[in-house]
Amino acid sequence: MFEPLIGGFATAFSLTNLMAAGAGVLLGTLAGVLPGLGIAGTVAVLLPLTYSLDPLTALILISGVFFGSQYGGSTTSILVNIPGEATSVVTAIDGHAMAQKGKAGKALGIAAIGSFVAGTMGIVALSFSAPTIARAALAFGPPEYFAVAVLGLVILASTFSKSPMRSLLMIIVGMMIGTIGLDPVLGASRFTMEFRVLDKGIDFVVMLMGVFGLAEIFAEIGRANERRESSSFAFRDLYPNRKELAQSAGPIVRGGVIGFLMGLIPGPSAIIATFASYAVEKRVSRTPDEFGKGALAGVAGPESANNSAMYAQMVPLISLGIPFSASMALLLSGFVIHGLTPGPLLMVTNPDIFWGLIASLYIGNVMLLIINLPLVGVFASVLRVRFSILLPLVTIVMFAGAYSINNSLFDLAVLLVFGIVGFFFRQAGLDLTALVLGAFLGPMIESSLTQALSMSNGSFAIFFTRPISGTILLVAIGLLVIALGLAARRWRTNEKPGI
Amino acid sequence: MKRAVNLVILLFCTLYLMLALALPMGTPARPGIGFMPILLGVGGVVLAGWSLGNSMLEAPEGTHFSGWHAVAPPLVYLTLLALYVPAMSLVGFMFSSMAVLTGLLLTAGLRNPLAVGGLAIGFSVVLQFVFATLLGVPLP
Repeated sequence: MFEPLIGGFATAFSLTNLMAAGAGVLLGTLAGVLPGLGIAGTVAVLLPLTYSLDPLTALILISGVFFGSQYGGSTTSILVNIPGEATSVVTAIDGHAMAQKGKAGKALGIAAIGSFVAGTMGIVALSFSAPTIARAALAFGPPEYFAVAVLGLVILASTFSKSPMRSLLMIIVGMMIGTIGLDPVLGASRFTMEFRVLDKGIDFVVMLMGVFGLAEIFAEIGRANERRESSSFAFRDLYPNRKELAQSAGPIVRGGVIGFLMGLIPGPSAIIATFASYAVEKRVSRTPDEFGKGALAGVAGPESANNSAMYAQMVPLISLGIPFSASMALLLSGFVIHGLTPGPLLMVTNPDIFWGLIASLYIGNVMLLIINLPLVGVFASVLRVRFSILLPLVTIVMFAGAYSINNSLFDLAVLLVFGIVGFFFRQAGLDLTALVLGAFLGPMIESSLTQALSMSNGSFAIFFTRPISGTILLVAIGLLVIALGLAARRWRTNEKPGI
Repeated sequence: MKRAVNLVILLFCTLYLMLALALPMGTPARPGIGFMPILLGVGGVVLAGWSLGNSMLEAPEGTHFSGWHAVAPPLVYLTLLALYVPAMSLVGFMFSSMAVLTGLLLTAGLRNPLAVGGLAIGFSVVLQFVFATLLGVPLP
């Protein structure tokens, strides 16, 4: 493993790639700092701009955005008590309490160090696990891919969802959207209403830009004039002393492990990992009463967990080619628009990309620490930019970006429609991640289902007689039954939310 | 809101199923192009119907209407963006962006005419340069 990884470092250590990593981390931190922009929205805007870049450089830039945003989210949580990202909600509890006690610098410093250490743990685990899983996945056929994709969607609907049935509905609606255009197996046109422009289907990136980016802007525009008050801190306060580092070591390591393990689960697992880490720290702490009032472990644990989880989410994407979160679906789009297919064959056909990307994660993680910590004051000052200026500018960039994907005005109409859909679905409390992943995984599920049925001459038994797909599907069915049973019990006892 | 959204989803799923039924389903051994859509359509209608029924059983939502001053900005914003697409094909990206950006900035609450004009013109020119000249995108 070490030889190809060293080769990856040689590829990643070009000036262009280093600049891409730095730019990605900076842009990601900015996206994380500004509440409302979101990682998905930022990457969606950025994707079309990477067309002219080399594939590896583009992927390094996009990956940098993901990891930068995790750190940026904590800055607003601590200083302003507004989580820039959902993964920073827990950090706001003790981080902002520390800021109110005049320890904002310490909280920011520990968040950065925790993110770095746990991030490194996550990358090391990713470096070992992704190639191993990819090698095993070389033996996968259509039934196994069908089973893995179904399991991912079932876990998404059953594990974290407030209402498994509504998440299933969102997955199905997403899959319906994914069937618009040419059928993936026979190449015949479906649901296009005679519009030739729909033959190639709904562009996934444009859909994401609408659902996550434009919908967010619609939601924020009514309060674009609100001002945000930020806590102040001195630069020297950013560096924790030896005692504080010792206090944080345990929470950081535990957060890293919890984050990685939970990050492997499909869905918004990075968010759940932060809550799990917070709960664990409170339980093992000798002073649990301090939690909520500015406990250092309450910042160190969750911040470490969210970074580590982000790397774990890359494991199924890189090794199997299947994204299990909206962010990873975007990263997959980054692969696709540059003519690459992530999955087990990537390691064989494009080892330079595979190992270069993994090596660049190490580099990006170091950059995150050395660039962002000194610049934290600058990022905090970005919060003073009024949303009444920022949101219209981002909207216009989004439209220009969406147009540039296919040079199509039709895509702008699609963007607008999905902006409206995303806005109303969110207001109704529906699961947008399920919608997006349904649309993305739908064509893959359809083609693997069709191919598997053709292989077995129409017998559905093929999914259960092959050991890997059979086991995976039984797990999926079991999980779904348990989730629906639990939800039905909640519904019967009139506990919200329902099924 | 929840009920209205659920109703729209049910209508969408019903329309989808009707269109899917017109496609050849094939057989399990040789699935046609309608095989998967029909399965999805049936599942969608059942789940959407259940979801709508469930939302009807839930306690009625309070009216969140807090006056036109709260609803107007997103509506005006949306209208401007809806006009942006045809405007782009009529007068080109740069001039349509200048006009729409002016409207968006005013809607978002920026009141300084100099700032609005400067940002609208300056930002549109910069975007035209970045996308058309640097990235080679053939903007309308």
